Amino acid sequence: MAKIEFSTNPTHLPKRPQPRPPPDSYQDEPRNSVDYISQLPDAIILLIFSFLTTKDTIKTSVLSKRWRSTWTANPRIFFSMPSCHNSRMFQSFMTFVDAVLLRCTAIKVNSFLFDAPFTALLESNFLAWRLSADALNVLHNETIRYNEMTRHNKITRYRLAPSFRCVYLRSCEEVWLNSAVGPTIDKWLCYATGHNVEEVLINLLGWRHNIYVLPQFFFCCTTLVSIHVSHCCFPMIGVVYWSSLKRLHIEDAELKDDTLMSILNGSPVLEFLELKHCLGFKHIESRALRELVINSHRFHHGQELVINSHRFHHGQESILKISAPHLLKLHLLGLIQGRDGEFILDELPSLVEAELTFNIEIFELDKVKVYGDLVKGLLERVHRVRRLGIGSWCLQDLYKS
Amino acid sequence: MSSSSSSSLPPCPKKMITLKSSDGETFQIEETAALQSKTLENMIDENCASTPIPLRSINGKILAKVVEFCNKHAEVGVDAESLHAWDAEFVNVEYTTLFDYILAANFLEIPTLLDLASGVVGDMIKGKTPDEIRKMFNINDAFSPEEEEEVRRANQWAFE
Repeated sequence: MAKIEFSTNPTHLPKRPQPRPPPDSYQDEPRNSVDYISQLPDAIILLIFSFLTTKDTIKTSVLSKRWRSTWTANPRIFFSMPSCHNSRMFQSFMTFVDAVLLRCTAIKVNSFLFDAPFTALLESNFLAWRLSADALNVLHNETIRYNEMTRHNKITRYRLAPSFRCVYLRSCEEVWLNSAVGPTIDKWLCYATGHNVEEVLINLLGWRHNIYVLPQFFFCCTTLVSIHVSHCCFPMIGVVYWSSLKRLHIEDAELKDDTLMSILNGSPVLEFLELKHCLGFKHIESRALRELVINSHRFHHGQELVINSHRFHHGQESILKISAPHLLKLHLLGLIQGRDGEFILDELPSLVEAELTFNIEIFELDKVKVYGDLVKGLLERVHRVRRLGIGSWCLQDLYKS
Repeated sequence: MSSSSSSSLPPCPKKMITLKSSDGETFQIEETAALQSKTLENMIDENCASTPIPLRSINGKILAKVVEFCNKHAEVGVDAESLHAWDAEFVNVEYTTLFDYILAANFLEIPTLLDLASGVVGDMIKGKTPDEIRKMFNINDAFSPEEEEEVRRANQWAFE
């Protein structure tokens, strides 16, 4: 019998045990007078380093002679951008990254993670300008997206008026950033792909106008297994050679249908695809995909599909068609934007799990029935699944219609 | 469910293997649980697991915990959240024991245990100053102040 779950707050991220405070006993225990950690083999020290940022690993270089150069062999490069108050600080951060890459000795880079999210910029501007209203450049009409972003990213330190989505750099600094950031990140990515990188994360969440355009060579990196890009632009791409790619997570990007098609055609073993806050594509087609999550809509191809907070284009015919005959899991999540958007699911004979926890803002009462029919239509397509999660919006809409 | 229906399907005898610690203690573990260790899996595949397997680098106290970990992770029907809580309790130990877990998991090739214990050590280091890390782990053969200054200068950007 199918298991039905009602959920208003879906969580599907794996959790790791919370950091435990270090034991108090180490200071008193006589047997702890031995330096055990320095006796661990390098392979294990590097495994421990894989839980740290690159900056934290470099700090271990002064612990003792044994630690002096250990960090340079770390195959996982992880930069988390600190709060930067002005372009000089950005510049010094970039110099820092360059200097690190020069000293890295790992022949193969397993992961390249560059996490420079919204919070860093928000904090910097918060400190610099104390959030005075006239110093802020505010994007009013994206309130809801902002609220959703803050919820997902658990930003609780700053209480902004709800209409503030983003705090921007002063314009002169933005001009500098626009010219400096692209070539700099390109250079780092080139280092990573040149070292056969398997995992890449670039998170520029909250940066204005998605200023970073992914370079063409990135689409020809055959060693990539997992990609997570947030707030990056996709250029016109020809052929994609992501022959090892299994997991792809794209957040806040405009993806033309042919771009997405090139990506899906060039990713023959893609199993998981999540498109969060994406727009522009109308069609998702993949024979490999096992799980698809569309979170606020934009995606198609694979075993798992996540469509999270999809944005339908205004004004034009807005249909997102999903045909993925081998899809096992489908997630439609978040706030779907665009008043007349419609999902069309082809037969999904392999589907075993579906999660429908999305919601759509209803502006006109006569649309209630339309949305009710949309939910009904989706349910008809997924009625054979073993595990079905339905959010409160979908339930209410069924009831109202 | 009646007991007669369950008795009509006699459970298959569980295949057990025996592990022997460095201090001579022996432990029985079900083969299905032991398969989480790639090292043991290879021995089972090569039919080397019919006699007690000597593990000279792991003492009885640690081996008992490793067997407990493998048994827990082989249980069926444990939900992710309770397993997560169980794991957190399992690694809530003195740090020297954590290193014993790491070395045992490394030798036996048990990736889940290796990641779990290494992650806790990583969390202990995260955000600490070199002095705090030295004190926490008794790292004594520190550089002379001049040497340390030199290393700091070479990696200056990390200490800003």
